Amino acid sequence: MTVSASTEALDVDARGPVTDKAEKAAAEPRASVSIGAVAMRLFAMMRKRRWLLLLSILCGTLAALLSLAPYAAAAVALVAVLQGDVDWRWIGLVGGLALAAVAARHLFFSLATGLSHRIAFQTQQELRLALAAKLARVPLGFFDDRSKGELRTILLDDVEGVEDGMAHLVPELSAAIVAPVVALALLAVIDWRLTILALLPIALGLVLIGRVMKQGEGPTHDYLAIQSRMAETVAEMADGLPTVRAFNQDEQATARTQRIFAEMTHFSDAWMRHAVVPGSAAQVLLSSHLLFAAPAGLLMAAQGWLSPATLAAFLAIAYGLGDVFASLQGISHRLMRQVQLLDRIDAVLAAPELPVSATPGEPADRLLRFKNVGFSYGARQVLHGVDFTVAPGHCLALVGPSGSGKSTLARLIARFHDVGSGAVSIGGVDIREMAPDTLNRAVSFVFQEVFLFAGTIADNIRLGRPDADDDAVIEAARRARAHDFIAALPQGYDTIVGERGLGLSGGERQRISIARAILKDAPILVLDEATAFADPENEALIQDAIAELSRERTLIVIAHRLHTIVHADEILVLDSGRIAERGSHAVLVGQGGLYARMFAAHEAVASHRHADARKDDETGRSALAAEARP
Amino acid sequence: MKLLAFILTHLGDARGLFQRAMLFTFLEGLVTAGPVIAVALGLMRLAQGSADTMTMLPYAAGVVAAVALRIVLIRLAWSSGFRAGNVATEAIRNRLVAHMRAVPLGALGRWSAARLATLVTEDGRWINEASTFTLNRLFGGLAAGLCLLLAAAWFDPAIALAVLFAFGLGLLSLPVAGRILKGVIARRNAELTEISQRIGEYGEGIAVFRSFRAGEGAFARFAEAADRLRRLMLGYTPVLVSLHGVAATLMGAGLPLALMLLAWRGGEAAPSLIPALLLGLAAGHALSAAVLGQMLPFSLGMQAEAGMARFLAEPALAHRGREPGTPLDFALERVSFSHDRRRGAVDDIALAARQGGMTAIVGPSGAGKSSVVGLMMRFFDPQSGRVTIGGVDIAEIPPARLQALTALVNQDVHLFRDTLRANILLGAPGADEARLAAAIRAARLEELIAALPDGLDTVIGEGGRTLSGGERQRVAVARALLKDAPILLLDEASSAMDPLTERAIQQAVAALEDGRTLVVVAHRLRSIAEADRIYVMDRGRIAEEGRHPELLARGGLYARLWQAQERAAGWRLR
Repeated sequence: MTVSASTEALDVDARGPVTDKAEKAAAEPRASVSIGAVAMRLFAMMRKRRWLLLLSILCGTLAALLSLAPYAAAAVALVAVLQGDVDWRWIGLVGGLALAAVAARHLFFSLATGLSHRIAFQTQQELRLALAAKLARVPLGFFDDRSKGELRTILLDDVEGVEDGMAHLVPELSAAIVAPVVALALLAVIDWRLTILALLPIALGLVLIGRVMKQGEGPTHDYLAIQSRMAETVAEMADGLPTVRAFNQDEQATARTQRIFAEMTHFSDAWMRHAVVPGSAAQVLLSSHLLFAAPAGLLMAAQGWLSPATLAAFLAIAYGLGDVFASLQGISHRLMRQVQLLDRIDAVLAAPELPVSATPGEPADRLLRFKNVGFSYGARQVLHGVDFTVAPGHCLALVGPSGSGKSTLARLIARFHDVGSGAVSIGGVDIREMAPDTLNRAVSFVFQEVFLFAGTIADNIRLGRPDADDDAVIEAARRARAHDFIAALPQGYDTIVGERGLGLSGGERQRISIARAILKDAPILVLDEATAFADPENEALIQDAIAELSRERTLIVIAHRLHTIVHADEILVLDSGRIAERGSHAVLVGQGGLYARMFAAHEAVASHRHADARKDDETGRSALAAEARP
Repeated sequence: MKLLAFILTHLGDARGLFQRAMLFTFLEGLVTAGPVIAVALGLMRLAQGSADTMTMLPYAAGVVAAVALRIVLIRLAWSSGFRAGNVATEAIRNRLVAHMRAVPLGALGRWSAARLATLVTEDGRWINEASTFTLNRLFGGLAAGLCLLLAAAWFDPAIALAVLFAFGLGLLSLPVAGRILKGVIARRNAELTEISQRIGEYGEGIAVFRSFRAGEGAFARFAEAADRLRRLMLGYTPVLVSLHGVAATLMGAGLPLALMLLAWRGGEAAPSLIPALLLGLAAGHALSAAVLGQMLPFSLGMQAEAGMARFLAEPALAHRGREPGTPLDFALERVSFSHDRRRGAVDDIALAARQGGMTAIVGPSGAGKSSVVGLMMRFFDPQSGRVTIGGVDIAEIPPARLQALTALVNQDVHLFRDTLRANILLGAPGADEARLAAAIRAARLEELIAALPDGLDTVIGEGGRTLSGGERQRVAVARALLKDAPILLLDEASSAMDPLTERAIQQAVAALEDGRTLVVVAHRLRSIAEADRIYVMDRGRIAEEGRHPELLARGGLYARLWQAQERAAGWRLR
């Protein structure tokens, strides 16, 4: 069964939670996805607990049966009155029983829902564990392609959202299907001819809705497209509000939103004409069970083909049919919202894992070697034939314009990705042939972004070596130039940091991450030299900490401030993924190539003075001429 | 009711349409009761005996006629109601956007960009749903239900009374159950926060945990949190599950109660009981379907209205329509200001930036430098003291005038999903090609434009060609050049750009600096060494001020920062 948005507004599920409007909106463009497949997927996930599931279905079915009680009671009373033998004690008893049934229905429905929730919570836990286990096995490069928030959202919110499908599917489906089916059976027992007539308006309504949907497809499609364009435009405007206000002299910035709102009204009106108004007749028909059955019943009763009592009982029970179509559509909407959640979860679960060698080798020494390495992201080749070695204890600097492949190269050392061609080896062993633990022991990273987990500062530093005692932690902090600021905090090393903890400045976080790396004490250090966001005092401290950390280690540094690497043993200048130049600082400056141009610009940046326009512009122009690429 | 009033006030010319829709809806509701009334009367007639086909024909025809009439009326109601609702929605959305431009930017800190976007699009959608359908359906369903109830009362008041009683009870239970639910969920969410954080942290930090070989410990903590989460959710399930559907249960009790009431009353069973019972059943059904069926969209509409009303209640930037004085000297006079929870408060600051001169603000991170810029741009108003241009308080100058006078170039460059041309022309929409070309040249954007597939008409931003940080900043410089404002604020947070790019930006900005009121917030002290006046900020106060040589000689904070920077500049790896 497929649904379209055309009647969506009529039957938002009354029992649904109030929080998932966004998914609701987002799910609509994919309305052609099969509901059945989603339901089967959810059932498959719950299969492990089939007894609980069965019990839940049983309770849901009972609840659905009991929901017919008021109609049945009314039918009994009507028959009694029409047949002229009213026993008030009996009628009172029927009323009481019906009242009890109404209460019991609520009880069983709650039970069915409660059991379904129980299953859902257990299944969610399994899903989370499966996802977490997966994240422990994917290549680290997997995390580069995703924002951190994205994985957080999948683990928390997406898995949370699946609950709605699992926990409500069974009770609601039983209510939506069992009650009408039983009501129909009762009706057929009472009078099969009238039953067919009662179904006729529903059939007509469905045919009509099908036709309307076809006609309304174009406008509906446009409507959904414009809906998402509006969301984009408004989000963009809200995001750039300071810019909008700084430059909105002629309203040109807000004209975009005004245009899209007007367009929305226009299309919404068109949608109304093509889908909503023609569909209104279908809506009436779908809930008019009496349209043919009642007149026919009256005439048949007049002819004596049917007793008035039978007709009255039929009419009362017919109310129990309810709006089957609307409730099924409510459920299908609910399931539609699951499609995207399940897609995102499945995408993670299906991610390729980092291959682990069956016969891991141990590196003989710390010699790092790139042998003719090539690498591409999809179709885009990022590195071509990169070939170099770094002797233990030496320093290699990676330099190049942004996008030249420096970061990718550095990441290959820790197997964020596996090389496309060639090989990376440490101590003669291909890093793909090493146990992940061995490689992680050999290589440390200090990157610009620092992750602090919720816990004390001491715990966060201790990540570098879990068995380190307090003295070792403090010593590492001292060497990372972090001890002074930590000691000055009211709770010192026991200060809670992380998301809800104390906010530390970027420079302070950086020094904690250096303390970690000092504690880890890996022989190879990969460093993204990005102290640029810090203020001068922090910058100097971070530099001291880095000097401490890099002592006696093999150092691979992604350099931004060229003066810091003038003493590097070798500088690789990357340009578009190839080694453009290599050598020591002195040699490269002498060559007068890309490096020399970058270094000259760097010097000019460092000595730049504001409000010095004329002089600056002249030197600028000549510098720019020098920059023009050969 | 607030929701209805909110929609009514934004209907404008469509008020008539809306009223028409409501009228037709009311009529449609009445007609909905028709088939039941017709068949109930027919049944009573049958019960009285000796009815032939001809006698039944009017009743039978009545059923069909009522349904047919309903189809006509619902069409009329929906087409007017839909148009009216769309008009109201558009008016509300435009008003929200207009208000976003009118409130102080600081107030927007309380409303994140994402929240505002949701307010306009998603919440706007629920307002649209409420104005086109929900209110309509609710109104029509209630009309039908009450009509049926009145008809039932005509034949037997006791039955109507029982149905009304059950419905009323159900209706009353709605807000009560809602309140309890809200309380329970709030309690649960409070416990949830910490667990959620643990779970989310795994997603954010697993890469780091793994590189420190701490993946297994992190997984164990995650598994523990996932288990706690399951148990927590399970613990709250019974109460949440049993609260749901209380209203539906109560409303379903109408007919059983009616039967018990009849049994208690006893006496003769009149034929009028037949229509009364059928009508009572139908009335209960119609009333509960109207309320329960529209409950979710209705409450979402109310939430949307509440959010919008709260935002629209944010006071707009006030002004007195005064012109700034000349010369365009910028001054802060004893200004104090603090954000709600964030860093960067300023405390009793005095500062002056003269036209034609350069004023620099330096200091450690978190000292309040950016807050000073925010105060000058009137992103926020000070809690005490005043900010003046040429001696006139900027709070008295029209915001648009202030915007026209100032240009800010900082790290935060917003690009719209539009052509590069449109993005640059934001600075001066009316600029001719020659001016545009000059700005592009000065901002060193020529090379970039030459490399773009459609040149200036390439669509940039999300979904289009993305620009690097350096490229974005050059676009900002081009905008500022076109805007040609007499007051220029540079918030020069340096970043990890490659030197070639950074140099190009410096040169582009240099073209802007001549002869204006220039305020530079700098990290790189060398770049402002020639400033006419340097203010050194520390923890929200001005610690020192003066020219470079004086400050250096004083041996205070500035001298310390300078030395640190000189040391950093001479620093070498190994």
